[in-house]
Amino acid sequence: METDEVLMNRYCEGDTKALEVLFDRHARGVHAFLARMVRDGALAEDLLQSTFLSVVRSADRYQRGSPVMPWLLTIAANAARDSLRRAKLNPEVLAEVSQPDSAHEPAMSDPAMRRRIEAAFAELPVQQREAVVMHKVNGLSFEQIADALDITSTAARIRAHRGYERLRELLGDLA
Amino acid sequence: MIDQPLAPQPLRSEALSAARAAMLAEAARPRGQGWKASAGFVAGAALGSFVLIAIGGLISGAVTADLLVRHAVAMAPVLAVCTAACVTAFVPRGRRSRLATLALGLSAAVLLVLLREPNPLPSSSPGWVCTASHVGVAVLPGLIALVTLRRSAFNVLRAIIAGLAVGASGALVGELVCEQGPLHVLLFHLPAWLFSTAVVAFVSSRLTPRSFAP
Repeated sequence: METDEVLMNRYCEGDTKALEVLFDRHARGVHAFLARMVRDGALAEDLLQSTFLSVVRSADRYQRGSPVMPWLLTIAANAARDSLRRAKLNPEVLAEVSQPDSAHEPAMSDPAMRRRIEAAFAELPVQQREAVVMHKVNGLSFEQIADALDITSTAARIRAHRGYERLRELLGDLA
Repeated sequence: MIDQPLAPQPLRSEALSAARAAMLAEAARPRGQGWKASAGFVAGAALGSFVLIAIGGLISGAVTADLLVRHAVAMAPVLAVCTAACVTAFVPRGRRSRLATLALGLSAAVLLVLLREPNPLPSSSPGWVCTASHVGVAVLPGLIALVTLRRSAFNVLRAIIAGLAVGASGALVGELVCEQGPLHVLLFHLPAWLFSTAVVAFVSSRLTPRSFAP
């Protein structure tokens, strides 16, 4: 199986099939990341499309040989941050985004617990939320998060640790 | 419990297909220019405006060779800022290089004031004419920079650096035609540079990027 980096290099040289393989391999993971960031299934789907459109439009901005997944998550995080920033500028959109998406509610054994965890995640500032999700859920190292967010690894570590501390405060007995 | 990742909302198959189709349709289009070409385009607009005005001024006599030589030391750091900013504003990664360019820009601004010779003679035109000229010269490079900035995700430092490059074109023109003293530079030239930078950064923050790539 070809690595992501080989596939991305092939796409940069014009092989669209390689792009399709990358999409099939990562679309669900990127969507999961976006859904955690924006807490809205439909919006996450729109942002998934924006993320892969950005990959196509900005293939020249990919550093050949560098890990693809952190780059994809960087693009997705930028798209999510932009969307949340615009929602803040437009409170009506914010209200729509904040609505629980019941149509996409996944099955979970304890809905009350899920709501509590979701609410705790929502309390985190965007910067802390993306660092926590990238670290805990996507398994990125602090160096990779730093590279993805264009910050120092110390800053990435601080953001994630502050996020964890805040989650522990909010979840208390669950943590 | 924090260690257990929150279950994501499921991705609908029709949304997955739509995203795939949109991506492939975009991939079928001819590719746009790369970031190096974009940086070159903005540099060409910013430095080209200055060069054209300098040549026009020399031909018409509005700019003298003597003034050019006397102001060359002050212009050199501004030229360096403009060139460096055009590259670092558009390079995919480069937080450190952007911070270094910002420091270079601040140093060049201080030098513009310190290197200006005092001039006790009153100016024939009001000070705001210089401010307006600076901003006017920056309009075209500013528009090109804004279009180019849309090709990547909004980043405030990147936008400020692009604004710095754009404003530098006005600052250079100010050195071509103005012989007022350091206080005039401080009160009428630097605010124009700052204004151009702020406008590019602000407008860029309001535009929807075509790409969210870093």
